[in-house]
Amino acid sequence: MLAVIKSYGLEGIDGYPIDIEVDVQGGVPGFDIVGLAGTSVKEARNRVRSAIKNSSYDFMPRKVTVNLAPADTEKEGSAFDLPIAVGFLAATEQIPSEGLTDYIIIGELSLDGGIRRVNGILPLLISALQRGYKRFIVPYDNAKEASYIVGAKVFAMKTLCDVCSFLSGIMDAKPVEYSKYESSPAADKYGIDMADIKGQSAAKRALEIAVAGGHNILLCGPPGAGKTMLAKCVPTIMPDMTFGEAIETTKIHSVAGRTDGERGMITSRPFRAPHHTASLFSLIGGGAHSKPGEVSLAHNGVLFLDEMPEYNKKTLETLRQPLEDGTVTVTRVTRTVEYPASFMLVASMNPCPCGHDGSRFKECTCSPIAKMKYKARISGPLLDRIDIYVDVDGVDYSELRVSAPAETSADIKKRVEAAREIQRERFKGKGFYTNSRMTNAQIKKYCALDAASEKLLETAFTRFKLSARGLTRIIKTARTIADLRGAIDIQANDIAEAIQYRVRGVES
Amino acid sequence: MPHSPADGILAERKAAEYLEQKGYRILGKNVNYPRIGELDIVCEDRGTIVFVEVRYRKDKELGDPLESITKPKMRKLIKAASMYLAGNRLEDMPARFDVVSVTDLGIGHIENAFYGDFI
Repeated sequence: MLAVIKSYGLEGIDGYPIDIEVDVQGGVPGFDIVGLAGTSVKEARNRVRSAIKNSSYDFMPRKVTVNLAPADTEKEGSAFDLPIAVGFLAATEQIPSEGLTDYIIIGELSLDGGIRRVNGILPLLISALQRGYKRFIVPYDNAKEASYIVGAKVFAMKTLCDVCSFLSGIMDAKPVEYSKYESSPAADKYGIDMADIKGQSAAKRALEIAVAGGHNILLCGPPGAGKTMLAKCVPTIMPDMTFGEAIETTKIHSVAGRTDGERGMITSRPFRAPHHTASLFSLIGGGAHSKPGEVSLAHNGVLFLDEMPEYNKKTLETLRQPLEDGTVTVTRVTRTVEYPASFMLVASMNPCPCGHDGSRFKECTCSPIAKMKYKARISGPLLDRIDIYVDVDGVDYSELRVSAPAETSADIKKRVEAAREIQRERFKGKGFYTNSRMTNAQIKKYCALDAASEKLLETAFTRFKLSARGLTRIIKTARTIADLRGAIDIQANDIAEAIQYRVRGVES
Repeated sequence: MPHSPADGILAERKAAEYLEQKGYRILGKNVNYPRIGELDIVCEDRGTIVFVEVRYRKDKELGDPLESITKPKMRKLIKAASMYLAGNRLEDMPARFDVVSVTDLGIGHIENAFYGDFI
């Protein structure tokens, strides 16, 4: 007897339907899974066998062949256990086979017949829904994640027995109720606030601009000046995630198996701070199953590289492409996957090996060659992609001990949100939200410059030998500064501020 | 005391009697395929062909009889069973592998001792 069950597989953050054909015949008993099934899929036969027996169904000794169609794409993971088990029971007529294909069935089985959670439910549901599938049977532990998808009828089940009684019509079940999306402010999650940082008004201003326009920023200063603390505050001044952004980010985290079980969704902006020993693949993504890397996990949030020169040079250079495109393409022999990687890069570094070059407080003890070598660890092309460069020097004692409260993250966030709102309105329907992602044509359209600004830009261009990219980046930053003022036109002042953030990085 | 060949033959006879008592129909004994393997008992249980491997142990001190069936042995039995089904035009019949252990303490019967994919 033959039974066909519908299931769904993932490739990156997109899915494709899989037909699971279960054929049960006489002959030497055995259990074979074909259709480019990976090790974790093949192991299903042991789980399925035990789960069926322990659910008090009969696992009769038969020659069982399971085919996962399309048979030419590699399949991984344990999410096919449940459909295979249901298929076996239908093929052996232990449950009726009518109406089985109305459902997409997904789930991992435990040996006792329970259903375990699987990764990637959210992207899978979204993809399946787009293809017109409406009814789903998923693990109970994935219910929360699935509850945000409007239009899908999702039945969350705890055991194989429940699924069978439900499919046979013995047991009635209600679909998962929709949850309303609520963003959670990053300030609560990370427990840090801009008000905790004394002084550093220039750096705070630079961060505000960077966040408002989604620009990359490099903080440079002696050890202990507060670079890391400033960087950690970045998510607290970022606007709350919209539903669309949250879905995008959760999709990636779901594939990586990192969703918040309780909320089921990533509701506050991610702040990823990989250690400087991070490998290339952990950063960019890859491995045998083309998993997303840190750049993608930081999508719609912050990627923080503390002590940037300490990172492996090759690793750093790989950031160039995602920084430019906002996506990263992971290519392996078996599959090519594209992950979104639109993050804000926040990097910190010391100005020299001893860390005190240019500081007001301490003498630098490094030789000129040592300084040069240190700076050369970060390549020109990478620096070129960082719009804002800011010096973070130590703070005076009087400033440090002052008790007057500094501006809180919430205050700054309000201004950032206002600026972002202007941008959202401007780039409506274009697929991105911030000034930093404007194309050249859009710069022409939205960033008209007056004569004074034009003159200033020209002087800077020749004097500092800027690149073409450098020039457009200055204009983008100036656009953000103007947006923060709430102004429609860019003024010479805005250009001047943008230039000084830029040239310090390229110059020094 | 080492087993003599007679012990094995006696054990197989005991096992066959036991199975017949259970209502199995004996189809063949010591079905031998040279260089492939030997099936101790082939019988039929309500429409299912059962290949029985008989294990004899004087007592359980040396371990359970089932433990003495190694993977290479299973492989041999599976191949022989396929030969048997094909040779008797029984390919479409459901089949299974049982083990009957004969000790001085009594007879043990394990249905579905292993599957064809255990190799």
